[in-house]
Amino acid sequence: MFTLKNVCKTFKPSRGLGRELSAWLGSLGGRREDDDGVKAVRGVDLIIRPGEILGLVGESGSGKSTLGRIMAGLYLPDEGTVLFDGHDLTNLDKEGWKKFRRRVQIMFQDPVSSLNPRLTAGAIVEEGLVIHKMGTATERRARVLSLMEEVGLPADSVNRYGHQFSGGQRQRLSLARALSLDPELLIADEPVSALDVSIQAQIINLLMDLKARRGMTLVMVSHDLPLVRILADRLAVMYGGMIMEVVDREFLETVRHHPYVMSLWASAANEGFSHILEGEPPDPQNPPTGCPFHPRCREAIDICREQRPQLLQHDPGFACACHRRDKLEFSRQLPL
Amino acid sequence: MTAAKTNDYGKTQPRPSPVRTTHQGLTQILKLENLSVSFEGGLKPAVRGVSFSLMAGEIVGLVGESGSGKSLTALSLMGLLPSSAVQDGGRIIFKGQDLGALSPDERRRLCGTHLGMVFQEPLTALNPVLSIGEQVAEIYRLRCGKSYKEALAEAIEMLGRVGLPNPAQAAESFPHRFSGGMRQRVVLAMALALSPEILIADEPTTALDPTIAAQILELMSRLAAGDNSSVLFITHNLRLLKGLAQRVMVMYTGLIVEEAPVGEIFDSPAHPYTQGLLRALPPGLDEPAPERLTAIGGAPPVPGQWPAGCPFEPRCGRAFAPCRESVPPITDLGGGRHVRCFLYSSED
Repeated sequence: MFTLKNVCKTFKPSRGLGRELSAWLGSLGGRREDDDGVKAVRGVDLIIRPGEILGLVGESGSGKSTLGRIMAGLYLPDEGTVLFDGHDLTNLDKEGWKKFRRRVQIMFQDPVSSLNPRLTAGAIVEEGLVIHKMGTATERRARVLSLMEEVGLPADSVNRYGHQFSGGQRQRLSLARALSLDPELLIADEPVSALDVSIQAQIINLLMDLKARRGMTLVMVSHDLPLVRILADRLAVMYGGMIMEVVDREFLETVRHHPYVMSLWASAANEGFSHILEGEPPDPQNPPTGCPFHPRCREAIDICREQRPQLLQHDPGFACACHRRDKLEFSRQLPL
Repeated sequence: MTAAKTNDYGKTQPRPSPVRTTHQGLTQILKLENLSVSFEGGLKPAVRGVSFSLMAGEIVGLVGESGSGKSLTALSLMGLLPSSAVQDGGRIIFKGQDLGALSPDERRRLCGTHLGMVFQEPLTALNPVLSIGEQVAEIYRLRCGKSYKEALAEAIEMLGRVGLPNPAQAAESFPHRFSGGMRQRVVLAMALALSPEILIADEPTTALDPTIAAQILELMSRLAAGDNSSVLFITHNLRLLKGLAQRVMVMYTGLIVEEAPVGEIFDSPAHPYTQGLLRALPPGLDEPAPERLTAIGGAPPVPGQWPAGCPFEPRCGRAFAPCRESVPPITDLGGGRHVRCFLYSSED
C-alpha cells in the first residue's frame, strides 16, 4: 500500500534576522555554523501492507511521529520517495492530494488541541464530508449520526462542543472524524497515551473492532510496547530516526532481536532492574555516527561507530539493522 | 547499572540488600487519619476520608486514575495544597506529632527537612533562572545553615550520587540544558538531599521514556533504601509497582478502595475496580499477550460529583442493591488486606 524508500526529514531552524546575524558574527570569529537542524528521520525503508496493523514504536525523539505525519501527507520528505499505491507523494497535484486525503486519515494524541473549540461535534465530523462534497445535507447528517453510533458516542453529542466531552469521548470524536471519509489507511499517533488506563482499553478495543469491521489498514504510532504488542500484526521499532527492527507478530517470541529492542522489552517486563540501559537516546540535532544505538550498546565494536547498519531481512518476517546480529550470543530469546 | 558500578555515583557506598523487611514489626512513621480535602465552591470533597500509615523504610504504592485524589493526598502531606483547596478534616501524624497542630512556619521546617517530594514534570519543578548547583545548594544553606561554598560542595556531591556524569560542571548549568531524565535526577537529588524519612514520589516517571524511567526507578529505590527512607509512590500505572512496592493502595473517587501487600494485589485482587484495572492494563512483556484487553465500561465520575452509593457501582459488573444506597465500609480481610466493597461485607 505504502512504500517508503530512504525517507529523510530534517527540520531546519527558521532563518530569522537574529539567527542570520549570529551566524554571521560566528563566522567572523572563525566558528563554523553547526546548527543544521533536527534530523528527525534518517533514511527509513518501510512497506505498509494493505489490511495490516503496523505498530510503529519508539521513544521520544525517535522519529516515529514524524514518519507517521509523512505517511499522512502532513510533511514532505527531504529525501527519498513515498509511494502510495504507485503515486509519489512528492509530485502529487491538487486533485491528487484531494484523492489521497480521502484515502488516508490521521488521528492525534492530544484530545483537546486536536478538536476545533468553536465547532460542535457534529460539525467537526461533517467537515470532511462538506469539503469533499459528499451527499446532500440530510445524507451527511445521517452519516454523522451513524458514525457517532459506530464510535460509541450518544446521539445527542452532535450539538455539543469539544470541551463538554471527557478525554476518552474526545478521542472517540477524533476517530469519528477520521473515519468520516471511509479511509483505507488510518494513522493513529499515540491515540491513547493521554488517557487513563480504564479508558485506554476502551479506545484500543474500539480501534481493533473498527479495523476488523471496515477492513482498513492501521498504523499505530506509540511509545508503549506492551500496548502495541496486543494489537499489531507487525512491529517496527525506531531509534534515532532509523528503523532498528521490523518483526511479524508470530515471530516476536522466537527471533533474535536487536539489542535495543531487547532493552526496551526488558524495561517493560517485571524483571526488576537487571537489564537497565545506561545513557540517553541520541540528540537528533547531533546524532552519533554509525549506528545510532552504539553509545548505549554493550556489544558495540569499531564498525558500529563508523558504519551505519542496513536494515536486512534475516529470517522470514524479521528484519534487523545491526552489524553484530549474526556474530554474538547477545540476542537471547525474549523473556517469555 | 550493576553493583560493580557504584563509583558512577561519585561515592562508593555499600549496596543495600534488595530485599526489604515486611510491614510487620517496623516502626510507624506516618499516619493519616480520615484525611479530607475539598475545593472551594462548596463541592463535595475531592479526598474523602483517607486513612493509612507508612512504616519506616517501606515503599508503598498509591494507584489511581486522574481525579482520584491521589496527588491531593500527597500535596496535603507536604502542606502544599493549592490555594483553592483546603484540608477540612482528618489528621496527619508524623512520628507522633500532629502536623495540623503546628504553626505554618514549624510545619514548613519539619516538612522541608523530613519529607522530600519528587514531582511528575521535572522542568516545572526546577527554577529556570537558577543554576542547578544553586538550587540544590539552597537546601543545605536554608536547612543546615551552611555557607554558600560548603553548600555548593555538598550539592555537587549529591548530584554525583544521582548519577549526573560531570557533577561540578552540571552544577553550573541551567535546567533547560538537561534532558528529561537528567532533570528528574536533579529533582531527586533535591528531594533526597537531607536524607528525608519519607520520600513522596508523584508520578516521577510518567513524563519519561521507558528506558529512562527504568533508570530513575532503580536509582530512586536504591538511594531510598540506602537512607532507609520510606517511599510513597504515586502512579496511575499499576504495573510499575510490581517489582518496586511492598504494599499497594488503590484509590478511586477520593477513597482508598483496596489496600494489600503487592503480591496479593496482582495475584488475587479483591475489589472489582482493582480487578478491572488489572485486566485493562496491557501485561508486562514477560507475560503472554491477551487477544484483547478487557476495558472497564463507562468513565469515572467527575471529581466532587460522587454518586450516593459505592462510587464504582455504575461501572461494576457485580453491583447489587446495597451498592446503590451507601458507600461501603472498609472490610478487613486479614493479612494486611482491606477492601471497601459490599461483596466482602460481613453484614449479609
